[in-house]
Amino acid sequence: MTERTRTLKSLEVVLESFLHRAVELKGERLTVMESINRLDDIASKESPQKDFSMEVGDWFAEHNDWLTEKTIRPADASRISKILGQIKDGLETSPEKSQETEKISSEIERWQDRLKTEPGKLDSSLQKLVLRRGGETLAEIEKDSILKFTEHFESMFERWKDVSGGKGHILSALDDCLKSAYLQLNEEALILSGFIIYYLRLKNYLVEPYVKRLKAAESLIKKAKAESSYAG
Amino acid sequence: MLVDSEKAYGQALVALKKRDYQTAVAKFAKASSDFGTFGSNEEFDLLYQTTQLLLAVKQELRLEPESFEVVDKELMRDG
Repeated sequence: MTERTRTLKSLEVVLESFLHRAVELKGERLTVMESINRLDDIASKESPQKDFSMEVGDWFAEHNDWLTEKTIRPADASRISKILGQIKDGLETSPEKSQETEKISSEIERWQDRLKTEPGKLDSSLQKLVLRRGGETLAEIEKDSILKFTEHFESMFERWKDVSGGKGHILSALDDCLKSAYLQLNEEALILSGFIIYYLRLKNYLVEPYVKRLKAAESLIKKAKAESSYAG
Repeated sequence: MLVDSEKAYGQALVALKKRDYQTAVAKFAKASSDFGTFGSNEEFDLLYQTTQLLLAVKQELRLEPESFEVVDKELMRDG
């Protein structure tokens, strides 16, 4: 592998990891955005079909907890209220009236009232994307070994969530993890890879090719560490 | 109805979550047409540009003669 390919691969891993974490930080906010988009899709239908009431009803049932829990921001509440208003206008001007459409209209009114009158219950915190980088110290004070391992373990768990997200199989996640260890010389990814490989070995997977890659990454990391301490 | 750019931004984030970077860039591009909403949004710019950069990197890698997988195969074959 050329140095250029390695650099590109490394950059690819870093960028993918960054984007994945950035979206993960959105958490519940992303779900809210998806749901509002879906409601907007329902409202955008030019001529509501017969399952229209059912779709709106399903949406209400699915998101009823938004009225009681701190989930949505005031700006989102306003968006929802506006879309619901458009749906209600559509229902009122439609020549076809039924018990279902009346029920939906009254449910819309209930939602609009709650969204308007209980803004305090809505989450007003702005979920800004904050990019954090761990502090760097020259000589880290020796911490309690259990505490230190716990911190590593938690950090590795976060990494695991990151590499396994969207993957179909544990081997794909392991592959990503080994790439991080090999290309970024990331020790944490190396330890996590070893952990996964041991787990797979106990489950009778064929792990030899992964062990070879683990050893190759370990050797690179050791070499880099030695060079760094020599330079220091 | 929602402003098109707002909707497109949401769709771009969903695409990122699914690691569908091509779709994400297309949705970001649609969202960016409304500069009134996103022109000064640092987060939007950061995610959009990072996704564009990632696609460019992937494209470069496709043109590279070697790949990591080749090394894997060699390791498996030669032990």
